[in-house]
Amino acid sequence: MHPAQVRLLVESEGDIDAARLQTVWQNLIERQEELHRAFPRNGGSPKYKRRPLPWQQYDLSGLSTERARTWLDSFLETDRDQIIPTDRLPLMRCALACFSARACELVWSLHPALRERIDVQRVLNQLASEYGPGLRMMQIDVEGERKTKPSKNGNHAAHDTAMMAGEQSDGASADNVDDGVENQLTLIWETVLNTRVQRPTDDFFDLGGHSLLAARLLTRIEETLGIELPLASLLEAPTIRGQALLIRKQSGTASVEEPAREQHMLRQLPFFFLGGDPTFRPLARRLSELRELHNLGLQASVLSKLEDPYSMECMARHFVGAIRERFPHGPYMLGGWCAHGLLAYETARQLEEQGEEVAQLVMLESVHPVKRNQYSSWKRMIARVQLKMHLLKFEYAYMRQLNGAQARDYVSGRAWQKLNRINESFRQAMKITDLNGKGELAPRNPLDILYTAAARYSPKPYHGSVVLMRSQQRTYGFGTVLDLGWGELLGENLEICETPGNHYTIYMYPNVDALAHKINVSLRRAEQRVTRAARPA
Amino acid sequence: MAKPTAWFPVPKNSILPPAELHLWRVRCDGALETPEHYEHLLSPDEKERARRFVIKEARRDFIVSRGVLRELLALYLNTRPADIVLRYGIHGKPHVSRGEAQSSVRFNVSHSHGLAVFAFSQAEVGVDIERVRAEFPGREIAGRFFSEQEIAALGKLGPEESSRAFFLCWTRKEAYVKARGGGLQIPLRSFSVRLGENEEQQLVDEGGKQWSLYPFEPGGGFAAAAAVEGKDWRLKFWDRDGSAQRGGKDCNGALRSHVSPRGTAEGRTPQGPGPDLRK
Repeated sequence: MHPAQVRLLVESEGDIDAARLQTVWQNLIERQEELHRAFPRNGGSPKYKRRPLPWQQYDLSGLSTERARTWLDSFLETDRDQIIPTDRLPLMRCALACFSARACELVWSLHPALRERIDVQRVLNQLASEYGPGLRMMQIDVEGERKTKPSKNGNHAAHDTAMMAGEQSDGASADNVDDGVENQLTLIWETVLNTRVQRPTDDFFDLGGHSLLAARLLTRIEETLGIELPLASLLEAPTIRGQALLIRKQSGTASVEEPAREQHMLRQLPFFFLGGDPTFRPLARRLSELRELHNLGLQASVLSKLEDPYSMECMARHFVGAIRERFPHGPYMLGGWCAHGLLAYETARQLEEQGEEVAQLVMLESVHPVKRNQYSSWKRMIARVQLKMHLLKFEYAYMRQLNGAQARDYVSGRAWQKLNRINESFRQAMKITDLNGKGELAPRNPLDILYTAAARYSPKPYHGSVVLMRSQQRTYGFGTVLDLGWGELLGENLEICETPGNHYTIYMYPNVDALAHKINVSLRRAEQRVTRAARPA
Repeated sequence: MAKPTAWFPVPKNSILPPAELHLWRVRCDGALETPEHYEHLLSPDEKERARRFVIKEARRDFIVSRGVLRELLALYLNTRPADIVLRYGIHGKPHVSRGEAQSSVRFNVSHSHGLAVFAFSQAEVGVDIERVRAEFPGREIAGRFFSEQEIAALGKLGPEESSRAFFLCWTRKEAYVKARGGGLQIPLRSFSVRLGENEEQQLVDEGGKQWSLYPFEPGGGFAAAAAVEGKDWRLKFWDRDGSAQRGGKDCNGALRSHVSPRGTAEGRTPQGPGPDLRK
């Protein structure tokens, strides 16, 4: 089970004694009856293995506020991915991230079933009193990233109360029902301006903001909330309150009675990116900074077990299995580049066939194989040669971006193998042109197998939403066709998005940032659609 | 490497000939004069604005840059700093009130991390300075706000080069936008600037007006540019703090000759090495 995270801001007038905090916390957990009693599956049986509360400590005091936040965000993301094993007690773990001697954040990750029955506020009060004077603890709302008042929830404005009455069904703290946008914005403003924002009516420019920071702020907002605001909007609405209004207006979902609850409760969906090649690493890294990312690669060991490794359907079936093993039910989001995109397409199609929802499919430069094969063969040949040239240039440029040690590593670990493969696949690719998929080739490399399978694949109809990422520098021949042959099959479900670079250099710095950003925005939109659809009218 | 911009000590009397663009460099980190020294020069609305700043450094930079602006304007307009009345355009660009004797003086101010630059000319002018910070997420901002050409040019650079190039690009775009007085209203993507070190450029706006873009070196670790309406400007660079040079090797205040012919300041090469955006 993935954990529920409770984030606690710990501040102290004097220096925080982390060891003491740990002891007090452990003793406290030990005494919490509700945390040990009647666990759903194991029924609180004494068969539990007991162990001390896992406790990790990180010193972030050397980092700038912003770096520390980034670090913490990625920690939280990783932590969310780590399950809480249900065979031993306690069903939780803690991590203490120290920003300075007097401020730290305690990330308390616990089994969701426990989270429901624990009164965090009571635990906090106990902790503060047992630790001794001078310690303040505040809960940070994870979903809304909002700091709740240590006290209670009686501080809503009157107009919120009406809304709460209808919404307060999940039993969670009523604080959650407060407007999430302003709080999310506060966090973004504070990060960008590197200061505390006391009031939502504080003016951006009074807080030291200027146009470059404005650009940064709006980029952050787009990444976090998926809403694109023009720079000029900040003149019109230079406060958090004003900006939240604009965002609600633009997202078009929040009426006066319901202040953008959607953003606050936006459902995060897992994104599976197919393709484990090192080339994807920069993209995977950037994307994983932005969201939960599952990178699935094609492995020779898996391929050898498949019934027909040269069939895209067969490969996809394996991936459907792998995906549903991690998340038994959707909605899912899938993506892949070039032939991997086709694999993602077929995987998404099979998931759909099984009645699962795929909220978004992102194909990067994937060509409709049947349509491409209808294109003149000599043009395809030229395109292939051009692509190989691009690839070589890409490899060279990629190397140049690495530092000395990385480059050596890259050369020793990969270059030979890569060169051989380019050589090999080049020769084979020339032959594939004349083949109609009769299995006359015996490619050794999983990628070559994939390309062969892709050349034979004939995509069947799929009804989910598809984003096709196109490189702005087109490849010769079929590459110049904007929709790469998908328009007819996908109709209105196809959205095309252009990104800087050619077929390969879209992965290179800084193009990769634009690419990651664009992918993230389209995934955000899908998440908004899902969240909106799930909400009762 | 392009030759650095040469800055000169304060002249005895300042006049602003029609074909000259004057660029001033001033420290506003309080090392030379305290903010209190300038505060009394400000108008009531400026004092109120200063009071609203939450961040101490932002308040200080605002007070000092406004104070210095008034002193410099007073120098050009031959009046007292506190007597200058500033008015604001619809998008917030300040200008000298028409009541002033020589209100043909146009100016623009920018400051970043304790260093301010001031531009004065007889045509609309804009200036921008930014401290170059390697850790700044310029690439994300570029991806969203820059033109395709600029993104492509940045893409050709390595991480270190591109973080500086981002600031070169940003200051040029910002200077142009400020010169036109459109503030944040002009989409940054609607025009392209070149990225070469000290590479001058002409831009033509939608109304057919011509603008000249002059990048310059304000000092070590900063990027800056000025944009001014028309072309063939003679640039002069004044260092208000005179001999008290900033530590950068780029600051060179000892030279004597200071007027440069037609559009290029002496000591600068018009086209430095660097990526070429022209296609």
